[in-house]
Amino acid sequence: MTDQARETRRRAFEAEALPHLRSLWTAARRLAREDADAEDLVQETYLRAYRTFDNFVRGTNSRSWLFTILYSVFINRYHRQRRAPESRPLEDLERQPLYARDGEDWEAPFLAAAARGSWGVSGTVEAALRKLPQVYRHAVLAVDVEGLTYEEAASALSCPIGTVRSRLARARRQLAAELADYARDLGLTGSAHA
Amino acid sequence: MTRDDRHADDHHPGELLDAWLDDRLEADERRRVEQHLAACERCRLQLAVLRATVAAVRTGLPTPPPPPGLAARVGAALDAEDARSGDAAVAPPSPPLAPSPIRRPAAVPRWRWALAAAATVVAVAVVAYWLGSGAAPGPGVAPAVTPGPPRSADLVDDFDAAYAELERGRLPAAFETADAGEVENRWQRAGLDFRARVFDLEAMGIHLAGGGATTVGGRRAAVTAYRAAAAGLLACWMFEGAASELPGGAEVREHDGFEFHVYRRGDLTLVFWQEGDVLCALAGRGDPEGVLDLAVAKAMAPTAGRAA
Repeated sequence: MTDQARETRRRAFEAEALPHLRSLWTAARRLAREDADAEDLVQETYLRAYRTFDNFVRGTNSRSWLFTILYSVFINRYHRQRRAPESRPLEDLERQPLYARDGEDWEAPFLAAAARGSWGVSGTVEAALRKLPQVYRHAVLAVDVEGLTYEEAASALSCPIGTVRSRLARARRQLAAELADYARDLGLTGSAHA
Repeated sequence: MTRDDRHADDHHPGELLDAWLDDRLEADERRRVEQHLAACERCRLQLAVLRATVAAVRTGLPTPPPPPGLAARVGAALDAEDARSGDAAVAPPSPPLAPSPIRRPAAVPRWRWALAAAATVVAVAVVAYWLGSGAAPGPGVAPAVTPGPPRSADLVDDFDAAYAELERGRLPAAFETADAGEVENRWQRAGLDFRARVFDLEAMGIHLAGGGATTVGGRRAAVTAYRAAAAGLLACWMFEGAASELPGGAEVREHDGFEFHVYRRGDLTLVFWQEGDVLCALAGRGDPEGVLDLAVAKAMAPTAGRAA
């Protein structure tokens, strides 16, 4: 590649990728708990994207492209290296019933707290999210927070689409139950579980 | 009805509720779920819980600003990559994960603008903090790399038409309010999950007339309408999009890292600018420079408190 061609490619890459620096950072910080890990993750994402930029179809969604790389780097590198053992084996999680908290009427207090905007309490959602098994957390972050499609999330998280769907469904219900607990503990609902 | 009825089985949609919420169902499946919802209170409750949960996680997570050196660090890593691919014999190996010093000797660091842009994006994001971050899951089945929203024949014409509708008084009555919080609540209730905000233009004698969720040229948008004695109707839309989708013919003005694409349609001035993943459009009649100035002021509006 000539110097000029390299320069052109670099400029095109920067135009596509740089506007997403902040949202990539935010996403990285949500995945990796430490700032240093999140910085490494962002840098590696940009490098990986730059190296494969020729495969990127111009005019398509560069945000999704970059986020898919970010998740993929995280799952394949940091997560596998450093992941804390799951409290339950993966197979167990996949067989878990859809409703994490059956037999309790937590939905009405949950909805009351939601209507009051109770989740605005600092750190509530983050704390609830941290309580989820990692694979659930990643599904929620990828799809609900970062807006990846199921297909993109499947590619990013290295699992089949059906698994994304199933993890997402369980994750959302478990997250709701955790939020209901927070709301109750903080007295936000005005009532305990029925 | 027993509690067990809520499990996914032949009768209750279970995970299909999520698929319905994410607009992932084929028409017949969607119809079946909707028929079930109409008849089953428990599933409606579940759906409400799911919807509130997704909204909570979308809006309730902190968005810490990136560390100041991050853009430079990434730039340096790309420089190293360029050097490596350009002249492997000369370039030192680039350890991808090591914090690399900025080695670029050029007088004007290429990444200076990126730093400025990043700082501005932080400001914008902090303003819109209440809306949280992240985009919506795209509806429908999509390939691994999803194309953006379909290109309209002419995005500017779409907004020209949308402005005309507003001006003709077709702002739905439900959109009218002078309460910015209410407009923001409407966006939230409508499930708009990109960053949008209501401008405070009171100091300029421009008052909020209303706002809500709308569709322009097939795109979901957060719209706000303002009225000023001198300038008449001023409308702002925020929607997921990219400046690259704008048609040619714009006069492009740059201010502090933002590019403002200015179009004239008769005496209407439309100014578009990019804020992260969101494309903003501001339209008004009267002095074109006045509309542009307003866009410049609001795109770079300092943020209260958290911006520093």
